[in-house]
Amino acid sequence: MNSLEQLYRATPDQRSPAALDQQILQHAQQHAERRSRGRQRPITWLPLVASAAVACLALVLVLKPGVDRSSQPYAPPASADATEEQAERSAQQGLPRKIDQSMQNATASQPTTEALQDEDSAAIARSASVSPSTTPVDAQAPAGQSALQQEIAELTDRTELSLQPTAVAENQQRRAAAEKLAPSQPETSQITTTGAPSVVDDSRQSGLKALAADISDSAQTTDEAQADDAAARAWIDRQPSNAYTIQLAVARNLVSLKRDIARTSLDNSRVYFIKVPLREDTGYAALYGSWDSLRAAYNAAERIAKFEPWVRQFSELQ
Amino acid sequence: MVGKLQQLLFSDVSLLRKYAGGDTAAFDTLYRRHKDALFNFLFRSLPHRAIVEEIAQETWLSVIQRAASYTPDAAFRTWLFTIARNKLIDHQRRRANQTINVDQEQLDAISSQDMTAEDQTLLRQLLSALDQLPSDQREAFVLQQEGFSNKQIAEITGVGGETVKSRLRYARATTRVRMGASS
Repeated sequence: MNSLEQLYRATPDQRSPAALDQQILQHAQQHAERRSRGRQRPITWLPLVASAAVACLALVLVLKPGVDRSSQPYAPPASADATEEQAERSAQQGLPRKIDQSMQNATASQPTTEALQDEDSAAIARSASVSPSTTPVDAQAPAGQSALQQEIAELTDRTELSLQPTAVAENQQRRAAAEKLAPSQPETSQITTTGAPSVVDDSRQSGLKALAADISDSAQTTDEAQADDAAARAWIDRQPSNAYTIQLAVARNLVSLKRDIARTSLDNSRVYFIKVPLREDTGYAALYGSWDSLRAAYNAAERIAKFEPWVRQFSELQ
Repeated sequence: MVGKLQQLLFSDVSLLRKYAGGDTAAFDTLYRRHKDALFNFLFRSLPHRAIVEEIAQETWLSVIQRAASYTPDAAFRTWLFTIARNKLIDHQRRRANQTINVDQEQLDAISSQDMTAEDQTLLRQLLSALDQLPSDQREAFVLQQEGFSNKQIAEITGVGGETVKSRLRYARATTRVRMGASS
């Protein structure tokens, strides 16, 4: 901030006269009342239009020709004949089908279920000859296996689903490669049992120590800030209200503010730190010296212009 | 009391919307939040109290009428000052043929409030120097002192950011020279 702007800030603000305020607020109130009266007037045609629109929308939804009813959740269950036909179609196409447990229960008494299971077995046998060899891997896989072993399991699953012989061969190759690599990986249980607890304890202890140090520092800083603020308030109260001071800087962190001020060539005994409210927090302002006239404060501020100081009258602070 | 305190927490746009919905207390808060800054800006742009009161009133009436249709394209404060500036320009156009004398009594009143004689002289020099600036430069300078950024000043005055910077530079340089010459 340059000196011209500081001087401008020292000019007293012009306030809106009370009579004008009253007039404008009164007009605002009248305008709001007029608007609310306009809103309260009953609109007779609106409910009719709204109900007609709802009825039209309902008709459109019901009579819409392109609606796929098969996807609707309330479709009736397929009959036994239809199920049989579907099963035959699937068998002809050679596709493996996932038999829903609820469907199995529902059609348990009917002969089509056995036929379907037979067809499924035949389809799986046709799909890949690797299934028998992969099943034991899955069965033996313990919980908490390594990532590579999980990948093997995934490959196995994918192999079972795949019907293409080339894909089966590729998956077999990948599985073999992964199994070769698997023993070289360390076991997860070994990692967790060798030396890890002591490392964790050490880091936890050091973290707790740092936290305790932070808490004691902040408590110390709070005490110091309160003492500084009290001293600054007492000093401000002693000054004549028409005298001026220079606000050097404002910061959230009192310690760093003090450190920055101490590094300068200013007379630190003339610097006071006062608590000021910031937008969502509390900060500290460094105030420097006291001058009888604006001119004197203005000249002093010019000499320390690198701080971007702000000349303030004590009456604003008291 | 609690209601008034709660109103202070609302943003300008929220208050304006609440007023558009019929809450007059919201407008009260909004008005009190900006009235002095607006009046100060108008008075610095045209130091004539009667005219400034008239323009301030027109500005706020315009805000009241447009409250329901307000769309927050810019900050409320920017919108308010844009309306005020346009009203000021309209006024100056209407009275283009008349010479408006600066309200000397008002300038005296500004610089006589709780100040030493030396400070009063300094402030009168500043106000006089500002008064002699071209209106676009004075306007940019005053808006900057009211806390607007260069971008917001550009929005209010309807010019580019570089033009605002240039006006501010000239305003500062000219004022400094005039104050140096007179002191």
